[in-house]
Amino acid sequence: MPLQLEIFLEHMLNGLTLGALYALVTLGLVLTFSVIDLVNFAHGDLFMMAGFTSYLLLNLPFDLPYLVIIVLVMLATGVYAIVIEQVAIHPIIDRSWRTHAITTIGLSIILQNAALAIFSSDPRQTPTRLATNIIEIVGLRISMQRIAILAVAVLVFIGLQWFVRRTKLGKMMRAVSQNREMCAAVGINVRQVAMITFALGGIITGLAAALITPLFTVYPTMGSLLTLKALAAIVMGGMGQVNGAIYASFIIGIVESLFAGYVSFALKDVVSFGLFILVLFFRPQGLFGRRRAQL
Amino acid sequence: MTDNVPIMPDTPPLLEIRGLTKRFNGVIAVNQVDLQIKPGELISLIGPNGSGKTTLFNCVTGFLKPEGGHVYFKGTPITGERPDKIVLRGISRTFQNVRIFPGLTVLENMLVSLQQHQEENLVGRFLHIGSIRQLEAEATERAMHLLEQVRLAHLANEEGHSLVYGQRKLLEFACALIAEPELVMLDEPAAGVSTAMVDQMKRFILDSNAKGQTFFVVEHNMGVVMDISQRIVVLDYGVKIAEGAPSAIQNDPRVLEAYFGR
Amino acid sequence: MNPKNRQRWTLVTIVVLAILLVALPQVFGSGYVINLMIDTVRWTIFALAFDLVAGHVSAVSLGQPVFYGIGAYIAALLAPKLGLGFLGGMLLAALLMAILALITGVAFFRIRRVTFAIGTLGAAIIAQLVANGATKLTGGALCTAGIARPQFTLPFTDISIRIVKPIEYYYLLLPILAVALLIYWALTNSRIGRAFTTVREDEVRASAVGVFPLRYKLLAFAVGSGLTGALGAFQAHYITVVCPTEMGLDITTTLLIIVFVGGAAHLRGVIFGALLFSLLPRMLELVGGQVITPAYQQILYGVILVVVMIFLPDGLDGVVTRVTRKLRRRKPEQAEVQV
Repeated sequence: MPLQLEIFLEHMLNGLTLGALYALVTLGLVLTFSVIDLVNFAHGDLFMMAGFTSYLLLNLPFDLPYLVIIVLVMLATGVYAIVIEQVAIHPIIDRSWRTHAITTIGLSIILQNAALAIFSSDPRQTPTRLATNIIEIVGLRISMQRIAILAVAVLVFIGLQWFVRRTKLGKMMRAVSQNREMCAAVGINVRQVAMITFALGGIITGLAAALITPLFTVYPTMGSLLTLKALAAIVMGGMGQVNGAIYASFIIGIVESLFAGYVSFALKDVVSFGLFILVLFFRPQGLFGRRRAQL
Repeated sequence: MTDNVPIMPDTPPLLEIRGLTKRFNGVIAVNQVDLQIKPGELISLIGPNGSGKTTLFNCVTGFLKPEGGHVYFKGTPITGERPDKIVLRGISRTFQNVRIFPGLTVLENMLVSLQQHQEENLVGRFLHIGSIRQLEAEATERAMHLLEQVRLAHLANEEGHSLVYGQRKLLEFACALIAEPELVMLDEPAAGVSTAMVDQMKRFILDSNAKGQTFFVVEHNMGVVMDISQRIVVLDYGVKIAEGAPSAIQNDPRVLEAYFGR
Repeated sequence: MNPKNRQRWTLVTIVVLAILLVALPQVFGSGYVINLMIDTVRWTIFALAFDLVAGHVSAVSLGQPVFYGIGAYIAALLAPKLGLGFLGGMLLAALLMAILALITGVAFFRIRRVTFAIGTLGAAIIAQLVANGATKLTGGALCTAGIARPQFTLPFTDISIRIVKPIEYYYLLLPILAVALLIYWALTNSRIGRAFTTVREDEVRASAVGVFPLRYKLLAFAVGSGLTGALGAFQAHYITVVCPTEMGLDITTTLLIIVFVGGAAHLRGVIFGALLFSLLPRMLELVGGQVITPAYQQILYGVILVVVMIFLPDGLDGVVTRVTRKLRRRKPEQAEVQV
């Protein structure tokens, strides 16, 4: 294969992995936003917590099977999400968007600085066997870890579609996202659905973190940038459109990877913000959204 | 029944709605509705719940963009214009779930409903402090006069959140009148208030109409509708199914079927 | 208390505060006190600007560090190129930041109200990244240095004053505070302020009375950001270096806590918040010594923010208002007394 093509494909592959990561992170956030109309500015910090949990589990004095670690991280992050929801989100869920924003920002501050106090600001990394297990496809070298991420991401999305359409809980979530007041009137426990949505987002985030942190580093302040990219994806995809947010996440991942490879690695994080602004200026309803009425 | 200034047949309409259509996710809420309101008229819009009355209101006043059709005010097309621009053209409205500003005082609620109109009418925007003070004085005088008419003058310095439902309705009503708009659109003025208040509302509307104020009213209270309207328009599932004098509408079989026979 | 008495009390309070502001550094001449007072006044100006945006029109801007930082860089890099001194630099920063606010505002004030918060947050994160990365322009993490001390020539004379000592900076800052207060008060106590309130409380109803919400949001955002830019320019001349850390997100934390714990959209609340949170770090130092690291302080701030949002959404000013209202109701006879 010609070298140029090989380099390009490697960047694309990186971009797909990155896109899958962003999509999984964004999924938790867009679920919360779509179902209970709340933007959680501390979402990226939940990922950070999951990442550090994964790091700690990978560095125990004894070896746990990787699969077990993944499950543990998922459960732990679900628990973190539930705790956060009960303590900080539940009391303000009916208030204005401003209260939502400021409360979750406060939460983000607490989480980031607690992590700083406990772990210090050095990035941590622990590769797993999957990460170091490289295979070759059509002349490209790719680690099993990356394949796992892509495969898992696809499975999660398909699984979520099924869940939302076929299960009772999923249908309740859709109902709450469409008309909250009506749901209360027909006996759906909105508070419970909110908590479950949060927990679900947490579990998915935990899964993402467990898969990704072996490839990248974790550090206490990583949440801010991740939250920003997830938010950019949500806006780009059309507010409240889960599928749109996922597609947008992949677009961000791919463009960022190409930018990092061909233009500038140091400034790659500007990409997501740049795309965000472009969409706002030229297609505010999002790339995949429909124009919504005002009232 | 009302007796008031007779409407000449060939006066151009104040508000004209042609073929107005509004859809929500494929469900038609307003379906090809035509409507004309002449200056000085008092028209009521009725229909069963969900027939599209408030949606129609929202399309006319700019809060929703219709998928089809046109709205003309004094001959000028206003379809899809920004709501604050439409207001400045001379249309005011109230809301089904009464909206006032809870953090502003009663008087301030009135003043803010007038201030944008005042600034529009000023030639050039170079305002000295002196002329603003004069504007405020004039506005306050007009506001207090109206507040006295609706018996809220004693609450002028109370903040909006301390008013009870009926008082809020009266305040919203007064705010809709203060800028002397050419068309006042009321969304269920008689809903949720006592019989005494309903009578009060009726009297205010009729008094204003007698002075030439044009009204477009959505209302469920049939007693009120029959008492005040010169003409009634009936909507059902977004379609206009009848239009005419109160006596005709009362006995119209299509109207009866829409309300009772389903 | 009838309105005339209340007016008299307000006037007295203003005069007393003004005297305190001017006199205190003379009485307590120590560097510590002067630094404290400079900090307090700085944060008050910063918070007034922020309150216009986040409080009065409820546009929670998480991007104030951008205007602050770029204002500082303008004073450091652009103003000298244009031959502008201290005052010119400040005015230039204010103007350019106001324009930047208008442009970004038009994009960010779309779709949902939360889009503005997201956009400004993004701007803050990216701006700091760029400031760190564009080393040729800004010196990156090594900072831009060598900013001249403010220098004035008194009109009609040959006397030239150069501001060097902290106490001189303090007295230079006071007129800026006065200007900020004047702008804040003039905007919020006028018809424009009334329009702000309508936009904050109910945008739908605001449109229905003829108020175009975007116009007032942009106005508040532009004025607030311009003030912030000017403050950044001042800071550049004060510290004589500008580093990307000046654009950090902890500025936003402090602003949020001053305005929303103090009491958003109320002058009294903002001033009280600024006083409280200028003193708080110093008190923490006294109590905890070196144990209280910046991280712990931030955690405390975060907790306070969350707790206040849950239990005291109107801030401390709201508490005071509610208490005084209850006291007023307990003494109806006083209302009858004509003075």
